[in-house]
Amino acid sequence: MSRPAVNILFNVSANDVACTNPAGDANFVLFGTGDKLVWRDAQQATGDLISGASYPTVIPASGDLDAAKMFLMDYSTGLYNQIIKAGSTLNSGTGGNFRYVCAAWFSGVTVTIPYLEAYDDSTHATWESEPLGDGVAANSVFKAITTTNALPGSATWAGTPLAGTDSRIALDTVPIPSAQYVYWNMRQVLSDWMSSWPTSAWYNNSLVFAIHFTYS
Amino acid sequence: MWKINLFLENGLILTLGDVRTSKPGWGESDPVKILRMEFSFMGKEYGKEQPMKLVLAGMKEYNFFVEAMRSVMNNKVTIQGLWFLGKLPGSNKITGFVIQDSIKIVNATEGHEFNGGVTAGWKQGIPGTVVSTIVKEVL
Repeated sequence: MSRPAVNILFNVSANDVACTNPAGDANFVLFGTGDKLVWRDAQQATGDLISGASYPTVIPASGDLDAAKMFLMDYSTGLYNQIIKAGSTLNSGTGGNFRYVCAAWFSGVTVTIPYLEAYDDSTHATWESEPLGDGVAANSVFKAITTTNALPGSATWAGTPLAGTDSRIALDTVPIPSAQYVYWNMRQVLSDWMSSWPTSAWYNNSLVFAIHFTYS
Repeated sequence: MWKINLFLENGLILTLGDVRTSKPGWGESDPVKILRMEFSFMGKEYGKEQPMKLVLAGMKEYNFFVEAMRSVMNNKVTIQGLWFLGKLPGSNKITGFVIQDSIKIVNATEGHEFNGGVTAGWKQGIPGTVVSTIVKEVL
């Protein structure tokens, strides 16, 4: 069938409920052109001005630490909007066993199972940057778990590292048969060895998440 | 150019939409048995643009789809590849081509034809006719 529209939405409420409107509802916000996804320290809060104080995540002195909060940087309002249920409780994370966190709505069928993937930039060609594992997919700082059909199963879910097509998540078990939502949850893990990265790698603004799908 | 021609059992030729648009037409089409699938496109050989034709014939079933990427960060959809597949008669093998930055041959078993995964949207062919899988220059 023709290329389906794919809307990306994020749940900014404390309710773990399904999305009811592909344009957004009381819980889910439609990801707009120019918006960004970021992870921040616990001091950052919903309603903070994007142009105001920024509280970056902090690399731990030893071991691993989950980023405290995931935000939608909503450029239409100029405000941070926390995706409250994002992440797990591993490494002092503040998420949990939550299902309806990140969503993609397909307006119609796909020929294959859609995937969530991460790339160095919008050419979707490489995944060699430090945050995506620098060639070792397991070291990607972004981990995700599909929740289209079920909860993660545990508050301490680990997820699958995201690094191009080497390591990704299938967003359903079959190709999309008709208009529907798929869901996932995701976390960012900071590790002590990241301190050896060049500064530019800490502030990499080129990374993109992408939905890999097909149509006919 | 850039459109699929389906040569059908009844002698008709069904021409689908431009595969570079959002409506390639394969999904909506309902052809009677397919004898042959042809696709003309502009390829590149030794750095020079060259009209080419892809042909799949004699298959038990045929499939076509566009591989695409929808960036989460913006609303852009980019085409990553054009897939032309056929199920070989008398086996569980799938063959065909994917046109990306180069043309790659697909050889897979049923259910594993797209990066190890299954595909939907197959249409009936006519097994028993001559099998052909070629990409050729058009003079």
